Amino acid sequence: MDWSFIISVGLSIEAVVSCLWSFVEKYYLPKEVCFIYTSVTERFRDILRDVVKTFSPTISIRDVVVDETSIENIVKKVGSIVDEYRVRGYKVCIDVTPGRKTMSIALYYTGLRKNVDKIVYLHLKNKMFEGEIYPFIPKPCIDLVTLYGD
Amino acid sequence: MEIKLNYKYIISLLNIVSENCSKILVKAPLFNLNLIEFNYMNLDYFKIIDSDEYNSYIYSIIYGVNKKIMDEIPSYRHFIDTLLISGIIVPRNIENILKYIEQQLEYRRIDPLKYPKPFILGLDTNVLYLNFISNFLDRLREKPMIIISDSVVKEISGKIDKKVRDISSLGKIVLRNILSYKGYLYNGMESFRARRALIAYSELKDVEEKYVTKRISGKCCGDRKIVESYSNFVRDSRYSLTLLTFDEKIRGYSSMRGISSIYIEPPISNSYSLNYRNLIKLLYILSIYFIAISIRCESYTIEVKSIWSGKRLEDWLNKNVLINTNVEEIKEIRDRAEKILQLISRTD
Repeated sequence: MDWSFIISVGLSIEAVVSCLWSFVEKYYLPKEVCFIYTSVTERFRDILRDVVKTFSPTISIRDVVVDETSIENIVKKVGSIVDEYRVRGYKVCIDVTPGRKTMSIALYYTGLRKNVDKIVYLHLKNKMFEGEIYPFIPKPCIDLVTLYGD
Repeated sequence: MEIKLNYKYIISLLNIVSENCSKILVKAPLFNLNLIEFNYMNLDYFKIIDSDEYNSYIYSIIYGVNKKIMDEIPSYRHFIDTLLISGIIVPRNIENILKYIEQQLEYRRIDPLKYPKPFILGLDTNVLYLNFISNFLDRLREKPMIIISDSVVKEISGKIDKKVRDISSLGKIVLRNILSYKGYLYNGMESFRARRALIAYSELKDVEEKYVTKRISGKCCGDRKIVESYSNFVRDSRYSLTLLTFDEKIRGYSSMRGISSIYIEPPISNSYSLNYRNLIKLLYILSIYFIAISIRCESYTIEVKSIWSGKRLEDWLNKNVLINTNVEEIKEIRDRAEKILQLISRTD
């Protein structure tokens, strides 16, 4: 079964890159990636599309813009995306690491409510490596934690 | 597989090889020395070669060696310097230095009428050689303006072109245990003195990029010329300059010319302030001091060479190394990471 990967986007592109890279390394190369932007982070859209292509040119990309202050609205929007992925036969992973706390709360809540296959969080144990991308962070300083699912 | 990489990719390699073992041994293959050993998983174990073992090996290879070749062999003192350059050992009075600089900046900020001259720092050459600014001054919340004398720059740039002339003597006499020394050494390779100057030059460029700096004129070379140039600058300017130095001697000249100075006390060599960032920097610096290092972790060996025929100044400034490894994934990691870094740089 193929995987879809839903991830919020904050002001640090490096964080989004590291989350995707560590998921690919530890688990699977997703067939589809869905970025949850806000009006502020939407400007990273083109860059993140190109970033995804460095992993595989065949990964489909979806961009969704949400109001970061409305948890209810995010839950609704992301929930319908999860439903759609399910219908298309994908397993679903939600990464709650990047972005504002409201985004993380909304994504985590959606994941639980929709009983997704995996909710993950990339734990950076050493602030010294903030702003670095995954290959430049020593393994002992970083851990992709599964918050929910197998 | 041999591949040119920024030294930070050593982290990627260690991440891969440490899956099977955590204890890493770092050797200087040309000198047949086990330099350091550490536990990559938590850094709770870090051991350096002791001076007796180091010196007994060095004494065994230097018999009958001429002065020029001797200059190519790092002493134990040089080895300890690599720990300071990487920030693993810390000047004894570092806290006092940082506090003093912070205070001077604060006095001026709070009461500019009482302290009309802005506090600035002038650098001695050794401060750049030992990477004091990037290792320690970065901790300051407010950064002082840094003045760099041309006397300092000329002293460094005058050495970066020094080459090893007698490669076969170095290879056959000093490195006689290593049959394949020709893979490491070549005619026209940078001498030990040049390699250290290139570390200083790279630090100079980093400082000029990250700090507000000003170059001032100065003649080459030596302590007196350095002090003279700072003294001339202060005389004609509205600044209060303090000279930062690792050298007790220059402080005398400095005092005579009315320039205050901060003496950076040598560190205690067995007290380590180890973290992953300075550990990786140490590996890079060791590869420069010892021409090459090999990083061993069970069946894996990663060889890091700091010099190669055709290495350009840009490679030194970008901190590139030549890595020989059987970890094939590193090429894919490098290609992807470089593309991503290029994409990210578009947002800056």
